[in-house]
Amino acid sequence: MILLSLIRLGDEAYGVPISKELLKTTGREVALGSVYAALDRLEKKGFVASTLGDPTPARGGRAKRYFRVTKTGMREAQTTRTALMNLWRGLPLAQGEHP
Amino acid sequence: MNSEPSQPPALASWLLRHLCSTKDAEALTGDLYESFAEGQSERWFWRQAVTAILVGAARGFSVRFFLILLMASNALVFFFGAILHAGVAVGPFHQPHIVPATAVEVLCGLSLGWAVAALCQGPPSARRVALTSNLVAAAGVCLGVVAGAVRQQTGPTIALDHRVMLALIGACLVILLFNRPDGSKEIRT
Repeated sequence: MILLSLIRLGDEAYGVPISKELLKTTGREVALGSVYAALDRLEKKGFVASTLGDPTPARGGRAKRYFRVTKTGMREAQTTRTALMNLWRGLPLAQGEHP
Repeated sequence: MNSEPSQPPALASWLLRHLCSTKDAEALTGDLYESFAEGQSERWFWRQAVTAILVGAARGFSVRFFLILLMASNALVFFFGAILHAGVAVGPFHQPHIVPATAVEVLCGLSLGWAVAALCQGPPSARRVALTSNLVAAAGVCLGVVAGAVRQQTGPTIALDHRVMLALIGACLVILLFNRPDGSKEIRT
């Protein structure tokens, strides 16, 4: 979900927009601490990379940390998508039927 | 009339600054300030701050905390050995009075204590200090084993206290040598 949020946000992916995107798409509020923990794990795996922006007064003089998906991360997102589609294929729910 | 305060809760900010020890702490705090300025409530800020501190503690402290626990325990074992070798019987535990053994055990215990203090403060050199102190402690145990064998004129035997010390040193060395987050040479603090 985090990877997809980063892809959707493009160059504006830092903590606040990422958590808003997650809230908008999943309907659940995710704590920023948890978002950063997940991003840290993804960064260690090489799926995302981060850069520091400039400090701003609105943030109490603190810089934004921008995240972007790496090529490895893109491949991983595609692999996960394919795996999920394969898992869904053939299930009644996938065709709009209810068990 | 806008009753919302313009500044986030001071105590929550202070706790974030002092207890959130992850590398993202600055960016995360900035995000919380930004969201608060956009209209989030004090309660929201508090909830986010506490979660960030707890998640940060779970991420950053686990290995370091375990290492501190192991090394502090080993320091206590060394100090306990020093007391026994000083000729003091503690309950059912007693050892022959051997001054050099006491000196070596105190030295090893202090060395480990120094490393524990370094790990608690978390400077970049903490890993190197911890590694050195464990090697010093290992040398101390080896010295004790050899001295015991010479003294008793028997082959080298490893007493229970030395086994415990070596096991703790071994565990610490494994953690120090194989746990390098981000591929760095430092323990994440």
